[in-house]
Amino acid sequence: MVDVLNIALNAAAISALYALVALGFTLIFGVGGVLNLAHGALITVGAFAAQQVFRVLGLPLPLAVLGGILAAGTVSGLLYLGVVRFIQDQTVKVILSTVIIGFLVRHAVRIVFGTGTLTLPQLFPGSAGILGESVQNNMVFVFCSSWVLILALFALVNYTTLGKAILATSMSDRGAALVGIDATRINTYTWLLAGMFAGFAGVLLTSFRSGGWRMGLDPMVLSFAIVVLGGLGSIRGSVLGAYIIGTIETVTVSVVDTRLTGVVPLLILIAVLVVRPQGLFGRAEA
Amino acid sequence: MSTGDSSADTTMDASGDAPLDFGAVEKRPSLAELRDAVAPTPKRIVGLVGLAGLAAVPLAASLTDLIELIGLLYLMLFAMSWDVVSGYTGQLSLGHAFFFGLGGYTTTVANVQHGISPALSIPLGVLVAVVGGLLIGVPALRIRGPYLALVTLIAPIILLQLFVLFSSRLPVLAPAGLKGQNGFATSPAPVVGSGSEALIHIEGFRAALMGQYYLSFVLLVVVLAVLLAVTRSSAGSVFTAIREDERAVSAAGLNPAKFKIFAFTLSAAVGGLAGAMFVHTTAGGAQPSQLLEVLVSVRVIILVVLGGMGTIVGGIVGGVFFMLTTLVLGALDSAVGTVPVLDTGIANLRPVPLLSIALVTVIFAPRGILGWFDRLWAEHVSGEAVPDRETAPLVLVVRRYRQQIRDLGVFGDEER
Amino acid sequence: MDDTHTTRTRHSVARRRFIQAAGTGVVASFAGCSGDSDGGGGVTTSPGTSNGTKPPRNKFEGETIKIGVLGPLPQENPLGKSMANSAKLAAKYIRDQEQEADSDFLEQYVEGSIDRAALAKNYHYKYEHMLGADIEVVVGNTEATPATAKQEYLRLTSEENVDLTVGVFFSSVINGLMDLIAQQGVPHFTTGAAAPQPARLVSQEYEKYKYHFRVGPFNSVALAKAQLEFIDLYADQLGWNKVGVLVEDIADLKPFHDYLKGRIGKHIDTPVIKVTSSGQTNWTPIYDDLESAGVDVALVGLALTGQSAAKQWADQQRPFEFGGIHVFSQFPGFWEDLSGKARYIFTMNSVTPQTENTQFTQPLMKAYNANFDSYPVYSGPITFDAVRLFAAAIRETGTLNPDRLVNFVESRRFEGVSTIVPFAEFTGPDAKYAHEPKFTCMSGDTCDSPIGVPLWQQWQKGKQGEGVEGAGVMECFAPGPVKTADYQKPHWI
Repeated sequence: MVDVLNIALNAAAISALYALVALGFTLIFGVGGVLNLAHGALITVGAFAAQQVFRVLGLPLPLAVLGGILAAGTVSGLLYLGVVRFIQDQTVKVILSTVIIGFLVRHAVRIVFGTGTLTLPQLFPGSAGILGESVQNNMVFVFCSSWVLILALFALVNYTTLGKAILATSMSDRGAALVGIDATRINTYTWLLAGMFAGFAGVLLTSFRSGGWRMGLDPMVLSFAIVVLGGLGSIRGSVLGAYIIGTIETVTVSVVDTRLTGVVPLLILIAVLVVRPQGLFGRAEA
Repeated sequence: MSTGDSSADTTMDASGDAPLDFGAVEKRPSLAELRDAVAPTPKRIVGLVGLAGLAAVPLAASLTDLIELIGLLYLMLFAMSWDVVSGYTGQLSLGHAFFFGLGGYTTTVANVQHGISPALSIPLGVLVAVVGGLLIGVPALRIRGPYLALVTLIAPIILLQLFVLFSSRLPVLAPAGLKGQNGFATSPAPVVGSGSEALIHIEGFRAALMGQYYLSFVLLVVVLAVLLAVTRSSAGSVFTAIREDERAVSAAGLNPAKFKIFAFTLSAAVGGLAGAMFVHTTAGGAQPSQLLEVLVSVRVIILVVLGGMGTIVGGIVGGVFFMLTTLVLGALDSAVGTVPVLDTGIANLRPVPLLSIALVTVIFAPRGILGWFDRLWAEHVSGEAVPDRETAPLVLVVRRYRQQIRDLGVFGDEER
Repeated sequence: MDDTHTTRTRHSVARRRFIQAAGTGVVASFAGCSGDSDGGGGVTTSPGTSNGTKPPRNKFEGETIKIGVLGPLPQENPLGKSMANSAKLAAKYIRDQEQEADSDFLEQYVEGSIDRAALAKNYHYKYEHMLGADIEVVVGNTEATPATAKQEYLRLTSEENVDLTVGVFFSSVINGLMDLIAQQGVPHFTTGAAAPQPARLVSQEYEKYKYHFRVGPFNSVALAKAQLEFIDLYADQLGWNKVGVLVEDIADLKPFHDYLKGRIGKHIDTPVIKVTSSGQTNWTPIYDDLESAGVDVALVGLALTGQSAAKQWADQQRPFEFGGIHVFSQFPGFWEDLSGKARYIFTMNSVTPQTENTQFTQPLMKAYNANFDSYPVYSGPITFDAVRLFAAAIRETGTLNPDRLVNFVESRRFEGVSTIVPFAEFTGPDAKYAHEPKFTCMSGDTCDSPIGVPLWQQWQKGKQGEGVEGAGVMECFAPGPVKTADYQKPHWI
């Protein structure tokens, strides 16, 4: 029995979450041309920070969410200022460094916080009725916050001075330098923002399922699949990619075969790479 | 290190070997050059001593140590295969486990489920790995740098997912399946072993293990020789040139695509061979954690980064360093016990120490241990100038450009 | 076998008395336990194969029998910790029994109140000893990877020269070890891993792989049978008319799925049977399907994905119950891990800290808690049993020869030894899954000699005064003899 409305709602909800997960990653690459392979680690940092605020400090959940966002943003900014800034021209070094840092953070979290499970309560318990279907409030929140953030980012980039500076830097930081834009400052803001997105995604993931020191790897693979599909560096592409993957995954689970869940995004990836390696909106030259 | 010939060409390629002379790529090597190629330089002497050490180690090793050492040899082989493509041509592969897995699993399935002898199943594994190399190498021509890195990272993950999907049955090819996350419970027939199914039979478990070690060691030396020959040849120079500036290579009339694919397939072949031989030893097995996990790929990268990228030998040096850190940590663990603030044993900190050293190496000493050794030798002994990777032509150009921009004083309020 | 001579000598009986009296409460509780039952530590031989003569009581005097434990991270991981600690407790138990045997009966014999025949009889049947041998436990850390496990296994068998290895939780690890076990020829009792491959290997190439036994847990075919039995016995009582089955796509659970798939429909209306991927993280669409099919309960078989599935079920407060084989909820720490969202989830298990499977169960739980300030995961009691089974085999055969011990273990029924089952028996070389614990049925209502496991536990909120306020308790609600509390339906249904 194929319930189209149900599938659509589920797909929309999970795609919104996936978009948030991939957004930070795309932002950094789109603006700075840097492949931040520590993205998964940032997601983990956000989750653990939120948990510490909520369970150890005992503060209310919204503050915990904020804590997660700020922690991940800070770590991300420090990562740029402390390491990436100096080597960002050298692709090989950047890729290797961020990979290693990603693993370092992952294990640091393991050593400090242990191998136990991380859980956060739902942000908005209960469910609501939408068009006759019962939908989790949490998913509604994810969907709404995801679009609010995406549109805010869009507005930021297109209508503010800072946003224009970001666009300029993303196109050519030599050209941007010529008109007085300091790439370092712009990049710092970008990394901060990307980190905050990652932190928020980490909090949501933990409240939705659960987390742990190893939680960063899967979202990162997902982010890769999304950006490869959508085109590296294109925010529009990432959003679209997230929705494509989320929808196909939900349809596969509901209609085709539940066994295929893990494979679906990856097979889509292969198909895209064969047909159009630069993705839907991407540039051929990285 | 070769003493360099007297060519007036000032373009040094960053690996510090003979200067790159585009016009002379197809020239036959002169007698002087050949003599340089086999001259006993200090680096080579150390290398030979090291190899001798590796050959002698098993004599004093326990059974447990032997297993660990055999694993180390294959780790070095994996590392060398990675260096061929990532260290030389600059095409960064973050998922080299793809090739190890293809080689190892193919030979296991062929031997265990189809009864094919290792003499045939191992070459079959190499063949499949080479096909895998083409599968990645050809599309890789259309995508660059970071993008390629992403794709290579995902390749082994996809492979593992396929193994999980077909864990109990893959029609025709693997009737008993590919075993998913659990891996194979039966190992394929060993090439050297004490049992009856071994290709080369040696009495006694310990003797058989040593036999496996020495066979693997011979493989290491052979692969090392072959790779050194390739990379020190003119083809190798082109690899390095591609890493530095691919457009210049095209401009010189060479087809970079041909060389890039060559590098990829060679790398895949070596990786596949290593993976295949590995599962035929007691130390190895067709299991995801030994052949396919992300950590396997990353560990290989770290070894080469530490040893020195773009040198081939760097993989071996990195492996030795890896073994040393393992020993040191083990000793510290027994001596110190629990680390005070973190409240955990030293052994539990792994792999943080190694990762930290690797990070520092990537950023500050990108030429690894070998590069450091070169510089040390040059500064204190031979007095020659050592080319610094940092001063590769393109990097210099960009740096100069940025400095000019800053000097223009465009940013009134920015710090200088 | 190494001939290590212990410094223990058999002189002052009075000194032993003092040691016994000064022993900890731990020892006392065991002593009282086995003293109460007649035939504690006994071994029943299978029909018609009694061999009459017993090995001399002090045959292995002066020797040390070593047990090697292979656990995942035995310092931190609860699974590994439980294994190592339980093995040590078992060694302590046997060692204390040895001393006990000396003091009591030797004294009586010396005094003349019992004769030589009675001495011999009591030495063999009343106390779990190893014919005078000392026992030592050596712990190895597999780090949950086959590569390290191989090294540790060789260290234990070649350098430490252990007589038995126990442990191993991860399926990939035991798979990676099978060839080495065959090579070394040292008996290995798996006490945690649920992989089906080892048992198949024993069945297919018996002579090569016969050294492998699984002491527990039951394989998933047995669990599937138990699941069907449960439905027959309790579905009506619990108000279940329709079930949905969700099984994870891993080798360990494949036999479970395959067995259920063709049969469950005959026991109860099953509109939905799904195989889920280990990569499943979003369970909402699946639960939507179950809900629209109107099932009363989701019968699951989940290992790696158990946590996200459980949390989402609880968060979303679905109108069906949830449980089956849920590996995560078998861990005492699960309640805390999910911050209470574990409530109402039920699963099959071998034993919980509350149950009384046999006379030995609670004394072990209490001893473990007293010594290690926590309760063991199920791999602990199984390891405890494994060591004592081995001791029983040595005691009865008087040999340390691996082949003869293997023959003995696979052909006997062990009564009054286990903390989990009233009698332990292994499937023979001809079974499809060989050297596995034999499953008869779980309840006396179904067959004549039930083994009483698996038992069915549910996480419930602790009653007042029980441990930490509001903390969760693994209550057992079936089968009857081991029940500790009634089943609770989730309060939102």
